[in-house]
Parts: sequence; C-alpha cells; structure tokens
Amino acid sequence: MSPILECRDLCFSYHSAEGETEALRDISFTVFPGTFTAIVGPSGCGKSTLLSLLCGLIPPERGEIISDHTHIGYMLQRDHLLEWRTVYENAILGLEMQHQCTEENLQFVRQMLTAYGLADFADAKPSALSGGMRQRAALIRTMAIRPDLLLLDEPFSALDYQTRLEVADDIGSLIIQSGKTAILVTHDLSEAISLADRVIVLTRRPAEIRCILPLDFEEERTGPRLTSLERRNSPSFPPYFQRLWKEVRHL
Amino acid sequence: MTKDVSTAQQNWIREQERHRRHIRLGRFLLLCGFLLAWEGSVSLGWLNDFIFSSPTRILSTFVALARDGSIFRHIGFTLSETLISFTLVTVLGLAAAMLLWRYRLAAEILEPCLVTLNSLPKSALAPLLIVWLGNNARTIIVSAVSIAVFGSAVSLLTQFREADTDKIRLIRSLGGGTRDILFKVLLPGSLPALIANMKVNIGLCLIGVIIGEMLVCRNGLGYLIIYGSQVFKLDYILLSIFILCVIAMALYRVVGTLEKRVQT
Repeated sequence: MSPILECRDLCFSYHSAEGETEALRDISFTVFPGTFTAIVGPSGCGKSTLLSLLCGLIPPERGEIISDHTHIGYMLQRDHLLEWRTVYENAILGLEMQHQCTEENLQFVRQMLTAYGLADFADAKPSALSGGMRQRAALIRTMAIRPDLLLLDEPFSALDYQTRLEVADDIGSLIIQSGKTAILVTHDLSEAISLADRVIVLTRRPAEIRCILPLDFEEERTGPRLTSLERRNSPSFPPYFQRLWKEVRHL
Repeated sequence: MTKDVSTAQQNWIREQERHRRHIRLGRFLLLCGFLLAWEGSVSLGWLNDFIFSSPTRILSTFVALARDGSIFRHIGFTLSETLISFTLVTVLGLAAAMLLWRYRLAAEILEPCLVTLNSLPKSALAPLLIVWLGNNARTIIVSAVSIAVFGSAVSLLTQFREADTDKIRLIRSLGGGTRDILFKVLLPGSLPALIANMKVNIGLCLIGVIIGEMLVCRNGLGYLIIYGSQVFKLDYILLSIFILCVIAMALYRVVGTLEKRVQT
C-alpha cells in the first residue's frame, strides 16, 4: 500500500525581531491510508505548527511533505462556526468556496446532519447548539469536502471533561467507521491511546520525534475495533499509559 | 400566552413599562420646562429677545419662511447633501478599508498619509475646495466626505486586522482564498462595527455639510445661519439650529433602527 502522506526531515522556525524560535527539527514519518495517528507532546512544542505544515497553510523551511493529490480536511481546536450563518450554511462553507455545491454533495451534507443528530438544527444559528453538537457540526463541515486525510488539532480541548469523553468517543467512532485516515494532535495521553493506532511522541521545543509507539489491543485482534470508552476500560490501556507517561515525563 | 405568564413576570413587565413611562414623561417635562423658562425670561425682560430670540419668535419665523417655501428648500438641500455624502463615505470608507487590508504593503506605505489626513482639521481644506471645485454643492459634498472618510477607513481596517486568525486558517484549510476571507468572514463579522461606524459618520457628514454650506453660502441651513448672522436676524440662526437638532436626531434613529434589524 502506498502512503497517503509522507514527511521527510521537516524543519520550521518562527522569526521575529527578537530572534529565531526553532519549532520543529527533522520530523519524518509516514501515514498509510485508513490509519489513525496521534501526535502527543508538551504544550507549545510545535504540534499545531506541524499540522499547519501538513495542511499546506505554511511552507516548511527545510524538508518535504509528499502528499500527492491528497484532499486534506483540517479540524481546529475550536469549532469556529460562523455565528451569522445557520448550521447548514456553516456545513456547506467548504463546498461553497470550492464551487462544489452539487445536488449530490448537498445531499451528502444533509445525510450527515441527520446521521449526526443535527437535522432539527439545520436552520438554527450555531449559538443554539451545545458544545458537543457544535463540534459535530464542525466535523460535518470538514467531511463535506470529502477529505482523504483528516487533521485534528486538539478538537476536544475546548469542551468540559464529561462532554469531552462523550464527543471523543462519538467523533472517534464516526471517523473510524468512515474509514478515513486521521492525524490527531493532543496533549491528553489517554485521549491519544483511546483513539489511535499509534502514538508519535514529540520532545520539547524544538520538537523532534522521541518515539513512535504502536498500539495493539488484544480484543481488537479477534473482534471489532473498540470504541474510545471501551479502550479506556481495556486491560491493555494502563500499561500503554504508563509507557507514554514515562516518555513524556522524561522529556 | 398571557395565561402562561406568572404573576411575578407580569409584575416585572409592569415595572418595566412604568420605568419607560417615567423616562418619556421626564423628557417631555424637561423640554417643556426649557421652552417655558426661555419664553418666560424673555417676556419678563430678563433676556433680550433680539439676541436670544424666543420659542414663539422661532415658531413665527418658521411659519413665515414656510409660507414662501424657502425653509423647506433649505432643509431639502442640507438633508440631501448629508445623505449623499453619508452614502459616499460608507461606500468609499469600506472600499478603502478592503483594499488596504488586501494590499498590506500599500497600507503600510500609506499609513502616515492616512494618519495625517485623519487628524487634519478638514475645515482648513474647505476654502481650497471652493476654489478648486467651485461655489456649489460639489464642494459641500466633498468637504463632508473628507471629514468622515479617512476615520471610517482606518477604523474599519483595524477591525479587519483584528479578525480571528484561526477563522482565516479555517477558510484557507477549506480551500478558500483571500476573497472568501474578506466576503465570508471579515465583512459579515464586522457588521456591528460597520454600523457603529455609520452612526459616527452620519453626525460627521452633517457637520461637514454645514461647514460647506457656510462657505459656499447659497442654500441650506448652514447658509441660513450665516445669512442670519450677517443681517443680525438671530431668529434665523436659532431656527436653523433647532431644525438641525431634529435632523440629527432623526438620522441617528434611522441608523439605530438599521442596527436593531441587523442584530435580530
């Protein structure tokens, strides 16, 4: 299988009058289709910068990103739904800008709104939605442009703890069911273990890859993939957490 | 509906209505008191009505000028010039802000010019404008526009620049370009600021129009004020000021109504 995205020796620095801040140093990894990768690291280590590079919002200073014809969807930390648009209008924002408002695509958005329990709120303003619903609306907006690769930048961190567990479970399952490839950036180790196939640990700034930890849940070898909440209850969960904790603590 | 409302809620609504009634009554009494005090002190001889005029003299002046229609002509001139310059300020200010946001280098180069033009007392330009543009309505409109347009452009530009950078990232990640950022995020997001800006501009345009009319001296309430001062008919001046108060209030209300409609 050919990789959907490959980055080689990525380097990036921020420049200001006070001097240069090195954010990323020699980051290399490969992402295969249908996998879920989590990237963890201390806050401010350059995780969001890495996603901006992968998404093509900023060019790398050195190194290269190979993602031929990969359609990338980016989900930001906050939902950023536009308050002056209805939920439906927000969901079709990407289609509108790419001039792809075909009947088929709009139908797809309406189906997702129904599937994600937002059909009754399609014509409401985002202020009428709860935190979890807003995040789902943002996911629909990202999915509407049918991305091959989803980049998730701490998409649950703005939610309160209980909602966060629910939404992570909810959205994680939606992404895995749809067979999408995803890269999740988070500083929450348990969130990473509960969702991903492997975890990339970054060091403090300038961020380098400290280790890549593949996750293997025994239950999943025989049965279907566990949901985020089921994984948290699996006996394999605590050892992985210990392992990651050790990696992160000794940075 | 009324059946569902609790007694406490009804009391609250009644309390609110009483409060509003008090405000209306207070304002009405204030106006009456002011007019009565004015009229009274003139008729008691405390104030000289030749220089201080009086409400009844203003009213009779209005009736006299209304009979030959001239007051309506003056109001018509002032009002139409104000509305034309207000429209121009809104359109030009917004267009300039959009262009300066789009072309950042140009904006940075032009910044000292904008700051200077914004803080320059524009009434100083009026005598020049008369010579350049002629003794006509064009001069009046240009001077009014010049008073408001720079401030309007600068404040809208600041508003655009303060927009959430994450929203811009969002638009870019969804495949949108600069146009999309401008028309889908910045403009709709700045609507409240735009309207607040319009509220300021309508007042500034009125100032500019009066200054222009005072210099051009042909028509309008500004002309009437200068004419009144030169022939020493202070009734004309006070009548014009009174009418200007009404116009200023009405124009502000119109923009205020627009604001409420946008917010809902």
